[in-house]
Amino acid sequence: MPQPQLERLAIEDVSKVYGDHVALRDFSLDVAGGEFVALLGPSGCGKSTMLNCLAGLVPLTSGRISIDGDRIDPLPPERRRFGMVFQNYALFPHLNIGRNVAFGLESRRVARSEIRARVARALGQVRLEGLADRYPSQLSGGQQQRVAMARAIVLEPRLILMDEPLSNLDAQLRTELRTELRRLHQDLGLTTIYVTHDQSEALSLADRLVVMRNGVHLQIGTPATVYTEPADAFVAAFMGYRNLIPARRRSARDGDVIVELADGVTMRGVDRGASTDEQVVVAVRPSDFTVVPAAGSDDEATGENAITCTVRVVEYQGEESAVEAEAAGGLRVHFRTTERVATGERVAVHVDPSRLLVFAADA
Amino acid sequence: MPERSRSLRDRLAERGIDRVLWLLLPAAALLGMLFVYPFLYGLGLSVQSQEGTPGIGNYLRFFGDDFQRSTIAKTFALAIPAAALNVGISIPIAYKLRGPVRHKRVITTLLVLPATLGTVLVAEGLIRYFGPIGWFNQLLMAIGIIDAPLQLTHNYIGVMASLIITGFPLSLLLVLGHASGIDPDLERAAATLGAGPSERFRRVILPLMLPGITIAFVLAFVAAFAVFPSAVMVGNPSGETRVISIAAYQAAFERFDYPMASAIAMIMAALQFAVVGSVFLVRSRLYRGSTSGAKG
Amino acid sequence: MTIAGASERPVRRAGGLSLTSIVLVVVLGVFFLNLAALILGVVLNSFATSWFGSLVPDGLTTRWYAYAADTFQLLDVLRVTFTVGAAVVVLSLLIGAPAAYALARRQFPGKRLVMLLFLLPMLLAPITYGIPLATALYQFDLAGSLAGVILANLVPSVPFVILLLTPFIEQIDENLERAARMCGASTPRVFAKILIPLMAPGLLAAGLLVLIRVLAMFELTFLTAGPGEQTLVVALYYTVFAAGIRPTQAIDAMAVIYMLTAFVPLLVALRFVNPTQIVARIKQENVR
Repeated sequence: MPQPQLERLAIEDVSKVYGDHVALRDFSLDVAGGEFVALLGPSGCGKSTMLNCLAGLVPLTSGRISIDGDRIDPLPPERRRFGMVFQNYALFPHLNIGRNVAFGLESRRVARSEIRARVARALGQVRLEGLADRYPSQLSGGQQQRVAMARAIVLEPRLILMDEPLSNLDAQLRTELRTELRRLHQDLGLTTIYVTHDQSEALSLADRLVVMRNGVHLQIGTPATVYTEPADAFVAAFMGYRNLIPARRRSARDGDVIVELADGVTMRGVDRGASTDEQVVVAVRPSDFTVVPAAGSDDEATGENAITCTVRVVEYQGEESAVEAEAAGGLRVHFRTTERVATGERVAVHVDPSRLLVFAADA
Repeated sequence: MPERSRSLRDRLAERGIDRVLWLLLPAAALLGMLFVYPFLYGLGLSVQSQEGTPGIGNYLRFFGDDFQRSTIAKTFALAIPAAALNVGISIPIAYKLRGPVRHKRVITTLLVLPATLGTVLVAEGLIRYFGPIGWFNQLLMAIGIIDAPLQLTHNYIGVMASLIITGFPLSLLLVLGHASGIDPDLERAAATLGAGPSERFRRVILPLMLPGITIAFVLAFVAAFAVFPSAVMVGNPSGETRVISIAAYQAAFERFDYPMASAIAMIMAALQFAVVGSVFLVRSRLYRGSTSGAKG
Repeated sequence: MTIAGASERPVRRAGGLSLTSIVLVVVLGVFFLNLAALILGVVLNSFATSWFGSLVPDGLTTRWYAYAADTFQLLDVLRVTFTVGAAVVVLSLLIGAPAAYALARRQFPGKRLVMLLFLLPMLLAPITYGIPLATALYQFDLAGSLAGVILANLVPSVPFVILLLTPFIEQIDENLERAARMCGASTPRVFAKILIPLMAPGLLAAGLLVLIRVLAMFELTFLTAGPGEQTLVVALYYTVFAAGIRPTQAIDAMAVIYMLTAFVPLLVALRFVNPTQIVARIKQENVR
């Protein structure tokens, strides 16, 4: 496997201000050679601005970016030797596929015979052999995406930047190309920065995730860490913790807290930075609830860390069903179960204290 | 389902032919009667003498007469440089203005004004402004560049000036309208691939602007080709700006030689088609693919 | 922002001040300055008691407007101008809009040929087809009449409306029509309640732009009008042509009135359309 062309990319205190809008605020990140880092967040969180700053398409307001100790932020994009894949692919409509892929090599005055060989190899790597004479408008969305990929990798860039490269494709193609992106990254020893708003894409592709909001990063970590131990309620929401319930903190012991949900039910969970606040938010993923036999009447306790509720909506999803249920006080609970439940049925759902996360309320 | 059981109407509808197409009829009929028919009528008229004898005598007479034939050269001497100049200046300006620029709306609004003024008014204004005692000459004399007024009207310069004043804004608006539609990511993509500013312009922006440039050139040429009022008013209509449209007008409305006038009109049409056709031909060799996005 | 002396800069964004920008600003500035002076000269002269060789006129007066109104039958000319303008606008919308609808909604064999028919009048200078057209109109005794002038002006106007409205109608989601039908609306009702309201901005813009073009259209009116059907622009041509017998101030008074008639619809139109559209919308429909 080829070695990465850089050892360390350092982004230090980068800010970007547009008028009075702060798109990026003192953003810092270290990327090691060969890493696949995903910048994840909702639109407007600054992830695309960060990518454009890296590419040199947008000048920094302050901060510095360096590769192995050399500053690159004063360089124009054409001098950075990066590859970039755009959301809309940005294929040159007036050039055929071969010329599109050859564009950067021609800019670098590479010998014609070498261009031919490298273009053919790059098209082979993205499985588009034989399409060199077509024009972009004659290709499908998935093929255009592969051309964009080939155009970036043919230059053997030291860093690849991808701006939501799969967001214009349909679901099936997206999963398929996701695997290919990861394969190319590994096979070619690339260092990749990948911008997306799709958490499943980020989780499955990246070695490390950077979850962003309002121009700052909220959490940096491996997919497993971010997924199981989100830093705050916002990250939790982004990672699929669909139940976000406002609650009051009652007591704390050994990192565990007892919280009282709006309807008076108390539950035990893990303290995730809410230790001093009275107002907290409880986060539970739908798949972390398990259905337990319900006790008789409404008022009766259903055992520790369980809520009694009435099933309102059942969505059949194959193996499992996604259920929305209503507990006392209008509280809505979402859970997933393989058991068959019917609308109107009363059930109790239980969550393990280690999978009930308690966050500060103001995140 | 077997073909036979389907009605003719179904099969036509499948190819897009249904009652909606009747809506085209009034427009097509109007142009048939007022554009195609007169054209064919003129073509027929042009190949007969004033007495009705068939023959290509009118064309022979036109090309045989130096005074008449020279109108072609005079027309091209005005139309080609005017069109090239108008479009040539428009390209860098449109390139600069294509993105979000402050006051863009004001600039484009100002550009529309001369186009709405029309050639007659611009010619009248030029007679004053460029005249021997007009502001332009007054200014040059005041700065001391010249001692005596320059002769700027009633000659080639006057007509050329009028063609630029009415034609340049039109060309710029056309080129700009097209250039604004070019996806800015394409230039950014070129930059990340290692192309510097001049290379980006040459290899990406210019080819993508080319369709707009050709249209602008064709329209600028056609507008300049038919220069009539300004050639008469600020030109020298019996000398260096006796363009072909003046020859046609004189044949029709001063000598009432309709066959000859028709012949000259046909020659004009042929010349315009020749230029327009060759411009499109050159363009199709230079450029393929669609204008903006690469999304299929 | 960055290290001093770094000569390279990120992709220069439009609006950045560079040498080329300055040159371009100067070019545009000189152009607009000359244009303004040209127009101002005409306006100033129309108010001048006399003006010969000096920087500004000797005195100001409005009497040339009264003189022009009197001598050039200005009221008649204005009446003809707006009759022709209104008739051409209404007719070209009535004829052009349905054709644009058909072109926007249907792909059919021979469409390119139909498009070519609609494009040709725009790719030829009006005087080219104007001469045979005038000849043909004389043959049918239509030349030298108001009807003849209107018919001649329809030739470039109808294609213009079609080219302007076709992309506009393409943008209107066809599902809106289908939805209206699903709600039980008949074809006339779909037109009256859905299409015409949605097309209104386009129709308005097209109508105003046609009006502007008709007002400025010299050649076709010139070739087909008799003395009684002169529009303002043609009357202006004749007075300039016959210059020497009339005071220049009176001619310029007429020119100013002509400018005003052209500017009013232009200012209204600019409220509704992007200036780049006024020129022509041939780019998308062009011979591909």
